Amino acid sequence: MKKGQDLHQLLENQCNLTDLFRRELELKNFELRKAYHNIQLLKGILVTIKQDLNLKPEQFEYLFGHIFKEEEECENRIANQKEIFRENLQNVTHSQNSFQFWPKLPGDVMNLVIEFLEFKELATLACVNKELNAICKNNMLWKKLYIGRWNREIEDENNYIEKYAEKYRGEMKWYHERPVVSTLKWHSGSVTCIDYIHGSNLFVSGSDDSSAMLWQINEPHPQESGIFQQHHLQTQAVSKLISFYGHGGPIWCCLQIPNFKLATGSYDRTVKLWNMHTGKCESTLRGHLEWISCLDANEQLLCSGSWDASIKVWDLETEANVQTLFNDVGNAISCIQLQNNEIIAGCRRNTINLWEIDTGSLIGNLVGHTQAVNAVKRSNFSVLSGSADNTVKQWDLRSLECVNTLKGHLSHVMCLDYDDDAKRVASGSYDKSIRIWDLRKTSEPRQILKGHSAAVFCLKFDSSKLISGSSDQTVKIWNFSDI
Amino acid sequence: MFYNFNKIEEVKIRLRSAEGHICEVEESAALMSSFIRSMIEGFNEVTEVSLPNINSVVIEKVIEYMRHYKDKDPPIIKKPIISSKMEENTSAWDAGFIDADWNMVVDLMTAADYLMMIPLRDLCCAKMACKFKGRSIDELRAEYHIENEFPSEMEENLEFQHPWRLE
Repeated sequence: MKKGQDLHQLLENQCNLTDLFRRELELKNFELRKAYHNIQLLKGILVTIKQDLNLKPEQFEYLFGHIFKEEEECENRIANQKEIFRENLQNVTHSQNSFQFWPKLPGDVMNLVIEFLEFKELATLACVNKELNAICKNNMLWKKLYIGRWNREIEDENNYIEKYAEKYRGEMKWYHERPVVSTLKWHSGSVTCIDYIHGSNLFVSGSDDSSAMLWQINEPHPQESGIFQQHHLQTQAVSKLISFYGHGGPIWCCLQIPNFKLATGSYDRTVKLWNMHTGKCESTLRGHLEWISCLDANEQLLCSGSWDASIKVWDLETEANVQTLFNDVGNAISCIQLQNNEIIAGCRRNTINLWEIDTGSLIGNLVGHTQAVNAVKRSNFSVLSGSADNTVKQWDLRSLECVNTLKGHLSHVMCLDYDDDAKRVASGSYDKSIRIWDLRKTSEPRQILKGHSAAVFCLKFDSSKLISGSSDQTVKIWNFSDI
Repeated sequence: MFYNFNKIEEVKIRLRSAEGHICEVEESAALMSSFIRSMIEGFNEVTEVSLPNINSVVIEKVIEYMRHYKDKDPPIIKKPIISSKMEENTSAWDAGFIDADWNMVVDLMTAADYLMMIPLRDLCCAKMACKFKGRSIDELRAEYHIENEFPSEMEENLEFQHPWRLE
């Protein structure tokens, strides 16, 4: 600290000195100018009275020559002064440049100051000059910002700034870029469900034409990039691998489960398990009294929610019904999600219920929606729900209270999905649009994807693409990877 | 053991500034500074603390702060700050207190650091940070007479590294 103060003192003194010097020079210059002016005046007078004086030139030279000499000298001195003045002025402004304020703050103080800034201001400061650039590239600071923004750490401890930029760029892509759209028109009924496992290139779609299909997303051909909209019956970018036929009614939900199997729930009140290599139905789970509206699974258990207001839990190995959770009569289950030992379910009568599987007891419910809840997603203690009251709500499971309400959809919200960080949300609605939201800035959607010609029933997304299914009988892939 | 119950006046701590002036402050207020606290607790009966690198104007200012927050906790400033106006970042009293010229803020900040008064130090830092809040690169360069040290191709590279302009 002492060093900093000394430096400050020194610079201030220097600045004062240069200032003083400049003022002195200005004063001197003024005096010289005055003298020069007088001499000029005298010279003028002399020239006019020269004729009247009636003197020989030698005499005149002898009498007044020194005045002319003085004039010359004065001119020289003024020129000299100007030179000195200019030099000094440069010095002064130069020392002011470096003085202005940066050097007065030692680096460690600057580190404290920049803690109060946001990443945007830090990035701006880093572009100002080299010294600030070095200060602003403090890894610990960016680590704090990274964890603050995405609530997670990364393995590579030394690279937070680059990782931050990379992740940020990826996120901004979703809010500011137009995606490349591929449209798949293969189903002959509304597409009601989609399942996509992050990172794989396979996805499944189910339709109310009672079929389900397995698709493979191919690596894009390098020459194909740059095409903005791809509207074919089926694009080259995606190929259909298998169709699954066998349900006696529309399929409402599908899910990829371990061992490369597919589970589908249907209007025919059954859940079917399919082998995704062969496309054959391997087993049928019966038990529900009404149609199946939703499915979820983990490594061991499969849960099915039904319009008969119950949730059945099946063991995936023995395919036995191990638990049944009953909701109030008539309060149908429209969506569920399984996490750990708990099931969270959106219900037809506006509430979201939380059950414990082992005991089968209702342990909480979230009240706030004014219409049926159509979609629910959970990430640890944060729950997102989409409802027929046109809103998406975010809830905190610890307090069982609504934290955020995302308003913007013009009609029923039918589906939603979260990203891994639980910060970016996509929701699809009867108003034909898909809206992408940022949970840090919930006042308005960050991006609105329009293209479906009817209600959007289902969607899934990962870091680069969003897949949506609609009642216009198409599946669309919105690709945000580098265009 | 004798205890003087009639003792009404609180113990005053005498702070000796760089110029040698003495500023008096009540003990309870002075304890806000961890530095003074450790001096008092470390050596019994210490009533004078010498602060050779803080001048008396700054000490007066620090004492003003100490007296104001004698019985209450200073408000905590959120990181990052919300606005470039201090009134929106902290309480009105704090904003008025720190509304001083730049040199004063810097001196106050170094003094707070020395005296180990974290809330005051944060207040000063926030005030300084306000200077950078919401400014563009060119504005900052113009204000502080900084020449562009980066060659143009490197500047593009910087833009690429920091894609934050989008939001």
